[in-house]
Amino acid sequence: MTALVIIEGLVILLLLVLMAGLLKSHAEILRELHRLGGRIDGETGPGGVRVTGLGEAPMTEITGTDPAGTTRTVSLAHGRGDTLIAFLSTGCAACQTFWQTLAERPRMPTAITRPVVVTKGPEAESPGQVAKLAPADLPVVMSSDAWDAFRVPLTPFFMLVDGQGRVLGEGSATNWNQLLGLLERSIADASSETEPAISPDDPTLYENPVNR
Amino acid sequence: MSRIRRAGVSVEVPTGWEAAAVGGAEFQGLDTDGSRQMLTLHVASFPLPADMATFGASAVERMGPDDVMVMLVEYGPESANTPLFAHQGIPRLEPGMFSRDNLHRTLPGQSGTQFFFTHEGRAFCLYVVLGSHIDRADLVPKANAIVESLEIS
Repeated sequence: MTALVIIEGLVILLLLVLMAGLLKSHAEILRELHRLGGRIDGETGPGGVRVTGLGEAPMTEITGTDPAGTTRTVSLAHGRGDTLIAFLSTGCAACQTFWQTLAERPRMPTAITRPVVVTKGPEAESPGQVAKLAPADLPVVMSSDAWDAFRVPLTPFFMLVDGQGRVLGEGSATNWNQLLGLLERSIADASSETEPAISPDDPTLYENPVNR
Repeated sequence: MSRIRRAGVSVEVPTGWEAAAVGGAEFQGLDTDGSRQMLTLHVASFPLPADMATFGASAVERMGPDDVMVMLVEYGPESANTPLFAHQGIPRLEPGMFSRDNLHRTLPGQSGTQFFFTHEGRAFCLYVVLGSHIDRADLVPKANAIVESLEIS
């Protein structure tokens, strides 16, 4: 009888430990979602996860190799429009649609002058696999350092950086239209932050400025 | 500012500039004719395209009048110290070296120069394109800043 009680006690203890572990991991997931600005109520809108006004990008250039073995330094502060950084991997199922769409030169907000694909370095990704998926006319940089510096939390992950190297928005999406929504909102938010407010004597406020 | 390194050659890449280096002794790839690909280094003040020819034919069409592109192309060791590569050491650029006729791909307004030299027993061609021939006096110092940061071992 005593043995049975001890065994039962051990089982209950084991279940408690398992439950505590599950609660802890659940809390970590919620904390990470909160950090990314995401919601879990099914109302994520066009951009699944999004944060704007993040300040300076952690690096103004990304250095790595492309799938053909070329060492490349890609600038994020080139002063000629915004750069869309697509952090993709060859193994992630959700990334496949973005590999494919980027190769088809998709519609993009005009402020974005260049998309750049960044994968993990050759020690973590097969250059051959990346070469098969890489869009022919887009820069592809393999750099685990960049992934660490930008603290990429999941794939696919996107970051929009302006020509001065400032992050305008970041987040994840499951399809191109969702990403477009995320990008358009980030660009609109950034421009509303920089444009001056209309003053009372602004001529556009009056139907006939001459007779005012 | 960062430094890109490959096959015993390194160069500083100023903020806002881009660079690409391919080939060289550490690279086992072969050219389409089966020969070993020699080191080619491109440094540009504008975003470089994904795929570039050795002398930057696809890149120069993206240049604005304020842009500069510096290219260093290595030749085989048999070329070192031959008459074409007789100049010893990395050259310093002067505005007078630039001409519209020196371009591998002639585009309106642009200017270029090409200089062959031997350094540390290695044979190189330095090819520089300026976005504006008229403004070469202002652009040459930008190119020289890149060239002076070159380290070849």
